[in-house]
Amino acid sequence: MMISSFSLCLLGLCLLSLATKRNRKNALPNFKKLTTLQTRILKCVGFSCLITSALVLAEAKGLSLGLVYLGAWVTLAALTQALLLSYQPRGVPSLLVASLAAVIISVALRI
Amino acid sequence: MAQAEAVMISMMLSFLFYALAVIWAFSAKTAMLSWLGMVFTGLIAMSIWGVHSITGGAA
Amino acid sequence: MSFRHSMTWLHTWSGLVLGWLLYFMFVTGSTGYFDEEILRWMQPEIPLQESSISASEFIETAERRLDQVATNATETYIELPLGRSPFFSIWWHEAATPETGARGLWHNEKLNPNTGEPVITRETEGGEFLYRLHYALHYIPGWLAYALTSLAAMFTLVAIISGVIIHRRIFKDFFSFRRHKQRSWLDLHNLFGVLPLPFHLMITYSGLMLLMFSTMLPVPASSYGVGEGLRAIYDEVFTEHDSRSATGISANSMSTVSLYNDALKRSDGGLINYVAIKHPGDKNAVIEMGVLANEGIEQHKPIHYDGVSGELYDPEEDASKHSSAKSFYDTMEILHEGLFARPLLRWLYFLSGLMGAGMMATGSLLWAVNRRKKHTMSGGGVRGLALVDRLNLGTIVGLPIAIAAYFWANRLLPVDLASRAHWEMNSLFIVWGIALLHPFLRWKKTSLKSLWCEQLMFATMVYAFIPVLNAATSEHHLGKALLQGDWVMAGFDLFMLVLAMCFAIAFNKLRRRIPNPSVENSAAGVKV
Repeated sequence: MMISSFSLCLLGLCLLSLATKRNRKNALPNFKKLTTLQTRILKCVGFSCLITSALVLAEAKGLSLGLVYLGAWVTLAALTQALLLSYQPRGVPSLLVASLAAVIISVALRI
Repeated sequence: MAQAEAVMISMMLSFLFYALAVIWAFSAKTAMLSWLGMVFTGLIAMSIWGVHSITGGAA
Repeated sequence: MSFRHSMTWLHTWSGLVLGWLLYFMFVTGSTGYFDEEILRWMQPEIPLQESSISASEFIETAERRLDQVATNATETYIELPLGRSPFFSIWWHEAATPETGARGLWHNEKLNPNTGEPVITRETEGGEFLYRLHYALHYIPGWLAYALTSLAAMFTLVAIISGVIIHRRIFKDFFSFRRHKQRSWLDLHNLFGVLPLPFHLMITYSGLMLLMFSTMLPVPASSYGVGEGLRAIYDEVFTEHDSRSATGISANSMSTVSLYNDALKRSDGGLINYVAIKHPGDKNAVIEMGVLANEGIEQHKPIHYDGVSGELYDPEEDASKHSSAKSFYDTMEILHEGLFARPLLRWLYFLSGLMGAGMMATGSLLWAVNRRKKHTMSGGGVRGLALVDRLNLGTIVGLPIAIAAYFWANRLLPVDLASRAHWEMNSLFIVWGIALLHPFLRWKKTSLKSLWCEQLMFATMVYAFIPVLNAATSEHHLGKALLQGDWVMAGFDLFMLVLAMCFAIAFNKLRRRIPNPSVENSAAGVKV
């Protein structure tokens, strides 16, 4: 379940970064404004992805090692996100789609 | 083991109290206020310890 | 002053005062995650294992050697070249003999994995020296070093907490790094601080905790008193009770190899990378098989056997192991040391540590950049700033150069030099001293930017040539190591090249940067 948990982290952070105004403007310049409710939903879904990832890891690796991996995965995913946002902000939506696909496939394969 | 356990826990917590004390010292409006806060909490802690030792608790 | 304002002040000054020490601790501590790999590189005499040898053959070879050298041992230990450990070695402990006044000592011999003969290796402290530097420093007594490093860790804890308070917006805004703008130093600093925040908090707190028996003595002293009493709590918490002591009656032990095979069956596919025998040859002998754990944060899940009957033996669990305070302490220690980490996690540990070093480096640079801005506006004196600028350079680039010098010294110092290991260590500090002095000596003639360029250039060279040095002074050159799949050797050389590349990129970026004419000689803001 390592790949599933990591792609969940990636997905969660993509959603969270699209939930902030400045990053959304850079990532999706032609996108119409989101309402406050929509932003909230994005944030909620994003956080639930991270929480799910934590649960998946705790289930697979035990609480202590699961938390270690969660820290590692969030750090790695955030690094990816930070690099993307500063060098290639248009890539965020693609990463979103890719990580969503990765979540579905890896959960289906249980890897 | 109970006493050793209590000592371990307090040692491990001490760093958090330390950090909080530093943050308090720097966030207080005036130097006087920050000294007063320190002395006051210090006195409380000391008196608890004092009472504890006199009444012959675990210590 | 508002709360946030005072926190900013606290953050800035607590960071600056101990920033260089913390940079040093982060860098050397990070190298500690690869201490065994570094030691292997620093002992090139050990040949690569060429043919596939089964673990039972290794055990038999090691036991033959132990029979020759460790006749009076109270405990023996065989390390197999499996898992992370690249070594085939034996350890034995000889008890203290009060009559002759000899102290109890651990002895160690590295064995040639092909022949089983002992290998004479050069005297070196390897990666353990770098690792020890991060809490015990060097040249100063332990208690002082612990006090200093704990103080620095305390400052970090405060700086992290206050940093989170000032930079609340980062979490709201999400990290965005504006690389072309004026504030890119700040963004980089935030990035290094925030991305591995769980790591930073864990490592700082657990670091403080590991030294608490030297720094927080008043706490136990308040209930245990001073002197002997203090010893008591330490023993109570840390002594592992040896539940079976030697009887003095000799008995024939079970064959280790058969027990090894039995343990292998029970280990569910886990590797066994050490075999320990307590009281060998005694009626109470215990044989321990170090099964590498597949899950959890313990590195090993050892299986114990009664040495004579070969029955499974469950060593009585130490009572303190069950106390929640002790198990919290143990968990933090395990997390801090990261011994359980497999390659991926190990690299992440290492990178998080380097990000910590980056956080300290960018923080100190940021201080200088902000100061400079203030000075150009007010036209005030720049003495303090100049000092910080020089120390920044001498530390941020100087320390990596000094570490490279340690590796160079390992290969260049004559093998039979007296107290050779000490000279390796001295080389690190001599070179670092020179790197610290360099900006002071050449200050008048050169701009800060060219000084940075000079050191970055030099750092690039010393790292880029380490693989060449390795090829010239050992049989393990990069090409051979890659072909043979010797990833410890190859990995070391390759990582040195990566480091060289990083320094080269920094050098290149800095060289092409157009200096700001107004602050040209009062040390142009450096940007990597």
